[in-house]
Amino acid sequence: MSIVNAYILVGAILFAIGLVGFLSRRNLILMFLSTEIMFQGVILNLVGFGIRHLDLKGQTFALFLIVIAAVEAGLALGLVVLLFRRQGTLDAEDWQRMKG
Amino acid sequence: MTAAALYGLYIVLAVLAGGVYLALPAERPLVRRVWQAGLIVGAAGLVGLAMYLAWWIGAGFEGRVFFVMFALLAIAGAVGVVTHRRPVYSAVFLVLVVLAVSGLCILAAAEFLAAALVIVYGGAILVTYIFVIMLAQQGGEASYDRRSHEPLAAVIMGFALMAATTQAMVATDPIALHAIEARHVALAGADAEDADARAAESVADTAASPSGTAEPGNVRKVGAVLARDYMIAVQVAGLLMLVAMVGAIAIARKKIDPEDLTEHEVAQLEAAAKAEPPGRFVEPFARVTREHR
Repeated sequence: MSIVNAYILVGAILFAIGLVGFLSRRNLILMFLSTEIMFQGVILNLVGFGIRHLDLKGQTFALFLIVIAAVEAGLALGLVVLLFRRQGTLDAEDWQRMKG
Repeated sequence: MTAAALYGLYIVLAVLAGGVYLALPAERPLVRRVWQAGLIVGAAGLVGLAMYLAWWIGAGFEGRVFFVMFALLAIAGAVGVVTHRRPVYSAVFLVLVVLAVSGLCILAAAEFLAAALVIVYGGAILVTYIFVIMLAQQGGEASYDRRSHEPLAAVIMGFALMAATTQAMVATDPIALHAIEARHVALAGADAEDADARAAESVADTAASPSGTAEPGNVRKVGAVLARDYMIAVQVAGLLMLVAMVGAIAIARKKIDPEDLTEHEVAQLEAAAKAEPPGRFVEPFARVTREHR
């Protein structure tokens, strides 16, 4: 096997750990921190596939991914602050009525 | 890759998943001991993964030791983010993950991406997160950080995802490699035709580059790809950031109808109305006597 598969494996492990955190933690801020870990896993995946295809498109796409991550962090944290002001807690289970 | 090696990888991943499950916050008896056991099991999984990666990559890759080191740092940091009971520590662990991932990017000759990761993630996004944590959670450990929501189901699902990914990667590997080799052969054929054009281009690049190196660096190459092939995408990304900025300001300034107030907000408003104004109260035009001095 090759270095490319090692990159993809590490990226997949990071993604899975982030998914576990997103599903199991109850703190809203920690849920979004877990998404950032998933972003790191996807970046590693893109870099690994970039090596495999011997071009720069993977790295370029990872740059766009960073843009998306920054936008997501800004908007999500704004929403978290709004929710915290309304309820006085960061517990995700206190907003269960949003499930509909 | 043999089936035995694949099952070995599954075992390593299962040990890692078990460590994550034991370390996740939960209210159970002997919580401290269970957490320590999770630490030990997770460390065992990491060591197994390190040996597996080293064997898998093979001695052909020069930076093998560094790759394994950075990969372990990234995974250990990620587990720390997910399992730590204090959000501030989780954010600091995320810095570790970002640094390790940027190290992996440098090993893959993606220097600009590594620098952008450290600057944007470590410098901007992390500061935003820590700022919000400080704002919202000043009391240390909260009750909802000591308990997780269905940890066993989440860990099993994560492990199933990992196993499926690994299986798919191993199963499709030979086909994909053949396709890529064929593509490279085709590319080499195409290269021979416009080799003269490429040579002229690289000479122009060299003349334009201040350092005068023959091979343009990673930053120049990525910049060229961004400017030539993805110009519209760059503009759209800028537009997206503008929209997000406007949206964030609109969310933060949102006014709420008095009828829609939650109990928490009503309680806070009542407390604010009842509270005494700070400082000593003196009548506006009271005569200054000895007592006041």
